[in-house]
Amino acid sequence: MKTCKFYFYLFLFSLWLLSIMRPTFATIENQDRRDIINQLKGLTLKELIKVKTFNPEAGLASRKVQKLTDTAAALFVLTQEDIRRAGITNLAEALRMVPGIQVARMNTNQWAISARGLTEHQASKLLVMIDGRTIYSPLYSDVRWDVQDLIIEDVERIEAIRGPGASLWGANAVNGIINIITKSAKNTQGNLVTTTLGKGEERAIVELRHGGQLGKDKYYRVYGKFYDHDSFSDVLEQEQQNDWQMKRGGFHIDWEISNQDAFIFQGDVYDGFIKERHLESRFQSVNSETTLRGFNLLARWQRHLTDGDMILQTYYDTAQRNRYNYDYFRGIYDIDFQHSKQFSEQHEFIWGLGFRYIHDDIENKANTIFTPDKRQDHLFSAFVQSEFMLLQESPLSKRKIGDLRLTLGSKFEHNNYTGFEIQPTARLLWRLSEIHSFWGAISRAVRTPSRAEEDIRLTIGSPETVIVIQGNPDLQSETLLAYELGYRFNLTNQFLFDMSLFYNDYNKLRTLEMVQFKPFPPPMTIVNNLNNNMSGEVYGLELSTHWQARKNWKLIATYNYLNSQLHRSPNSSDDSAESLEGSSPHNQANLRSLLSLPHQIELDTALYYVDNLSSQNVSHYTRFDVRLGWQPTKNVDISFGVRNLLDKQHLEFNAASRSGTISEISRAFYLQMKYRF
Amino acid sequence: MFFKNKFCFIMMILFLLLFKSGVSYAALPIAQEYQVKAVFLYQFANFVRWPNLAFATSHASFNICILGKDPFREELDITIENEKVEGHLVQVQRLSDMVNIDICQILFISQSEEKYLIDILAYLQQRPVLTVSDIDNFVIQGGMIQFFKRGKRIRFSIDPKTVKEADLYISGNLLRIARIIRRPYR
Repeated sequence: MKTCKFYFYLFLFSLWLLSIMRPTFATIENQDRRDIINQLKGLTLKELIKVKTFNPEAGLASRKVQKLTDTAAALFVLTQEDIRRAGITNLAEALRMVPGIQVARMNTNQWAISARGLTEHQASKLLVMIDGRTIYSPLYSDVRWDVQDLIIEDVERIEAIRGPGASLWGANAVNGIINIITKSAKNTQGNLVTTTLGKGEERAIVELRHGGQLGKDKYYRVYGKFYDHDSFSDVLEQEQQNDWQMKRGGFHIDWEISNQDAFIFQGDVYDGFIKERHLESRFQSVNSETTLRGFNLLARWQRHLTDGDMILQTYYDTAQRNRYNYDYFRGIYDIDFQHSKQFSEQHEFIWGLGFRYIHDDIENKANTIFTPDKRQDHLFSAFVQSEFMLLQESPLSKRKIGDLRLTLGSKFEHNNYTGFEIQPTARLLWRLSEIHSFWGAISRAVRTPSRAEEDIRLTIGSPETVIVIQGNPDLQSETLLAYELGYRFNLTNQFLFDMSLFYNDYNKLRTLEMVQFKPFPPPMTIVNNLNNNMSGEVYGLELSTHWQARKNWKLIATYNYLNSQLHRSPNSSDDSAESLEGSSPHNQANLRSLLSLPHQIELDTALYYVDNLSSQNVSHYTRFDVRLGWQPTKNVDISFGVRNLLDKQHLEFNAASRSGTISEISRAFYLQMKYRF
Repeated sequence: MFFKNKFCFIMMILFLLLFKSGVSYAALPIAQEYQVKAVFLYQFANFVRWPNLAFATSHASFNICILGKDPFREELDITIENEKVEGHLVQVQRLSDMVNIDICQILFISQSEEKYLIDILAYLQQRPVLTVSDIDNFVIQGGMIQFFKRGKRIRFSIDPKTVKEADLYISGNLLRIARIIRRPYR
């Protein structure tokens, strides 16, 4: 670690040296756009088609806007159309459509969601962001899906990247990144009322949205939403007490100050509850209600430069969760700056700085104790990324060699848990032609310990036995070295095929080690400590195809294969750690058909297959969804749908160890009406 | 541990080497996408000949129109400032509907109009207006010139027959660098 630190300083020093050696940097910056245009006008047509362009549209959500075929990563995009026509009323459920993402619903309000395996009930290696705000929770380093929601129609797209993105996003973007991007306020003008009534899953959802204009180039929208979810049943068809109800509201303001500057201000607030069942002792579970509350505010300023972009973003996000065993409050303050710059025709450079401050306050109750009960953490980070055109095809040349692009970058960060972390990546993209492109990448990523992993003391007891689970302040980061290969075939826009292969090499995965065993005096006491005593490999294949078969008929098929091999070290006593292997399905497939019929009728079907989870006692299941949509007038949308048409209910993940109950996912019906005016 | 440090080290060295070598200035400028497209749009005027009836009077201006949401911002205005095409002063007109479409010599159809494209092109059929767009499959659907990106460069495709049917004459120099598309059937 020490030597890496040395390289880090060396690297910073060299960057500085390079920058003073080339005073030419500044002169390009000042070049007026008028000069550029005059220069362009002086070129012949033959020269003009050789001029390289860049697109000043950069988004913080993806650091950089890139076309799918230009991305050297396993990217899959869900559009608003995909989401709407799949009858999605919940963000977590939308991710089922992405190949290589494992979505297993545990009960009404909890999901085990992971990318490229290692799925568990608090899956820790997936980074999720909504409009550039990370929603990854520092307490258990998972995503609390029960408090993530939006007006589903306001989602513009969801970009899902499998594989590490840590070189841009930092620790915890290990197995994948999900960017949920909402529409601009300009695109959500007017009023919208949506009501959804359902049986089986959602009971009632009401969404209200109003969009308007505040002045020239200044638009806003405000929304309110009510969400009420039914309980599920267990295998004996006995209803489980896990209702879920949320109220939320928010606003979004877009202001185009000038041609160069844009400003965004947005925020949300929510309040609700979930009914949970929890283990009071090893054999007994009781019902309880958890209240959830929180808000966030985000501001972003973006400036287009003639040869790049600058973005400054800051947000504050709070969440409060009052459970039977603890009351948890946390606030996250985050500020992020990034600057992209086209140095030359061949070289684009992006760098950025970030700071995050997390403060929390936990009131310990019952059997869960966090020490200390208040904690403040600081996270400093910086990243650099360079993109080089190594080979470039001349537009008029007869020989087709394509373009070869190399991306090198790294994140450097310092956190209070493990100190310095360095997370580099190298990516190569070869665009052989407009039709074929290949890419490959090697990256390192880490998952830093969560607050609970360091500070928790959980006691589960009966009069005879007491089991204690203890955090470990010396816990290290889980590390990943990932190797990826990909191929894309893009025949016009009618047919797109995408393949990716990966080999993930993990080290220092988390285990639970027995450190103390005291049979006498009764009760028998077993103390377990968290540790990093496991390594493993996960490898797999992901395929996806988009095919516009007819003008009115689109087919999307995805498949992925995954295999995990975990090895705990010889001195580990955690004999259940390796069972994580069997918590992710080996095979998953999805086939969607979007068919538009005359008279504004849409008939959409989706078939999902998920293989069995050997260590979860979950057998494979096939889910079939149908949706019928009708737009009688321009202002009104009506849709009716059934999820899980083929079976009454099925199990997706075994959460018994956590709550003592098992919920099965039932068949659900819904009727949705949308009215725009 | 050893591997990790070596890995870091190699990454840094690679990075630095490439950082240095990558910065060689080419003679051609780098520009924003719509700066290049704006210059192309203006250049098309010099490589296409319109019939005289395309102008209301001999003093009428040469109009480059943008239909729908303007992606050029000021770039196009800067490009055509004080420029003339065969004696006609070049002007930019921003249109939100088709009412005054007949004043246009060049019509750029913004991506915002994709939904109505078929109707727009049907209306313009055989009128002496050079239609240009960056909508996908624009030429296939009956447009004249379509911008597309090849890597980071802007290129364009032309269907010469569509242009000819509108009574426009297109220079060989322009056709030579274009990707020629011939619509199979109409």
